[in-house]
Amino acid sequence: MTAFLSFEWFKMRKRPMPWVILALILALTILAFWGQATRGDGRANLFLPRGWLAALSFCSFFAPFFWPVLAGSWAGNEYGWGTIRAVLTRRPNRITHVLAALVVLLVALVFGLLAILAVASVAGIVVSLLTGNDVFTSGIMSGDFLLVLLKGLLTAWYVSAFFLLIAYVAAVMFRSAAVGIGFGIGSTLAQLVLQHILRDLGATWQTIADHFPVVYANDMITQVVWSKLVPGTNLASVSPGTPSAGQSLLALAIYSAIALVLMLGAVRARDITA
Amino acid sequence: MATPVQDYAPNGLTSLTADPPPTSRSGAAGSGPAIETTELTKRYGPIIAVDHLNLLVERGEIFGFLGPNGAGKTTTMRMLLGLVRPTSGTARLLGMSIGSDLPAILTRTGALIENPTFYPYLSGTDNLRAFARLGRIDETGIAAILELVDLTRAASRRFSTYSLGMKQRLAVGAALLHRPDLLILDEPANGLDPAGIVEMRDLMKRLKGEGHTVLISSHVLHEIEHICDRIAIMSRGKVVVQGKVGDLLGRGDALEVRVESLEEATRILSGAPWVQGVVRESDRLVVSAPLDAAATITKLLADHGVYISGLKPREQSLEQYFLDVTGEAQ
Repeated sequence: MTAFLSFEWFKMRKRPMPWVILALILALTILAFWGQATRGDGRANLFLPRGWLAALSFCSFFAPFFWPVLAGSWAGNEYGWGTIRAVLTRRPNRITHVLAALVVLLVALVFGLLAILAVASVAGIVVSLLTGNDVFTSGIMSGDFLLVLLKGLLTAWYVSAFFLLIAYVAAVMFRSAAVGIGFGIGSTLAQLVLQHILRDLGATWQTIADHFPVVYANDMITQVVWSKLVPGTNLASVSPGTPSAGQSLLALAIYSAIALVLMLGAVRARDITA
Repeated sequence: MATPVQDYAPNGLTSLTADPPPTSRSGAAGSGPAIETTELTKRYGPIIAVDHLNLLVERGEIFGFLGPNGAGKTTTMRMLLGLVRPTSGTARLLGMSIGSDLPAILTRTGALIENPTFYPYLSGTDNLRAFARLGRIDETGIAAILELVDLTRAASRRFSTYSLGMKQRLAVGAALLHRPDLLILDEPANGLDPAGIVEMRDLMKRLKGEGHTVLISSHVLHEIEHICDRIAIMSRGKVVVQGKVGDLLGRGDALEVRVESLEEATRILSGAPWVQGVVRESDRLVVSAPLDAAATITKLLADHGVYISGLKPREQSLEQYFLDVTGEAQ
């Protein structure tokens, strides 16, 4: 496993694509701060330390669209380029290979989220200075706040990891970067559209729609961090009927486990003909 | 534990096997042929890609694996390397079973299957570094490997900018990275220019000289003829012929005779008890007889007043033989 991890991490450091995706996410974080700063009611959420929680909330919007690109191309290109052959003729353990690559992507997510928090710190300070406020709002930071921040960070990672995993699994199963990315992003969009359609078809369909993965993933971060944001602001609002963070944790774990089992089964059984 | 590869000298001419890898040449792995397949079969639904293949490659030889496109060569190589699972049959590499000892086999086997595949965003050096990490190999020998395959000047360029020949050479370098005992090379000359093909031929010979075993598939039959000890020709999933190149091409048991009067010479030679057959081919005769009968033939014809203008051992080209065997001569 360590040889695979070292191999994948080396590629991660050298490949331009993850850095481009990170740069885009960081740019969008800044834009999100800018947009939120122009809203009078939500501006206070941007001042540190609340700004960190706001940045994690923004991850809900980025996660379904950027991490699938990273995961889909990471896994799918191994087949598209044919490098899977070169890898497996050196170390034949396919399961270890796909899991090691996934682990490296999940670790990269952590660094990505920490980078988002770092950029959020700068953005929060800039907004504070431009609006004549203290760069660090006093009286908020406490042990309780730090706990929520930590939970928020873990939740942002968990939600991001789910969207990353779905694209990764699709890319591996269909041996294609395009399918991985397309399925990763497209399935989220499809769920959102289907949700609206099914809700009009009656209670049974409504129940099905309520258990779509995107329902659990969408507001999970907000569920965790809203209590420490300014009450009544848009970032602190949770839609009625939204699953609790605990329910979302369990549901996404089940969906992830199913996806993983399908992927590992396919990887184990099939021939490498790429 | 990392395996040092610094034994590669800059000119690439010194030993590739100075220090065997930790797992090599020990225990059960030390005995048996380099490759031995028994009734190895691969089916894709109703299609039989490889049909009860029995292949034997001895250690230390260069073995040519030939066949027209779709004959099953690449599928066989994929099975030997664990990429494709056999439907039935067994295969042993370096005395170990591909079913149970594949990781150990691959530590001692270098491979190039079909097109050279590397990460396009990495340089030549970084690609080798990546695979050195994967194989837990010391990276200090990478420069020597690049020198060996003549890529030193392009080492820092991205793989995506390489020509096909450069990609091919990098793939051969990567296959040699962990100093394997056995090399499985699928079309290594693909994309190489004439000079590159000659270099590849020299490299193969050098590897053989150092005790490596090479299984090589190629459509460049002229090269195969010159570098391989033995060959197998596949057609439609089956090995149709397998043996020493010289034996298969009939060298040593026929002579080409040029004379003025072909009819007269045919009549004379047909009467000799040690001649197994005389066939007329355009302006010459092909006489089935041992090579050491050349002087006797000369004397016999001269005694009958027929004088030879040319006499040499019959040499059929591998290309012609291949076409004859695979039924594609027409």
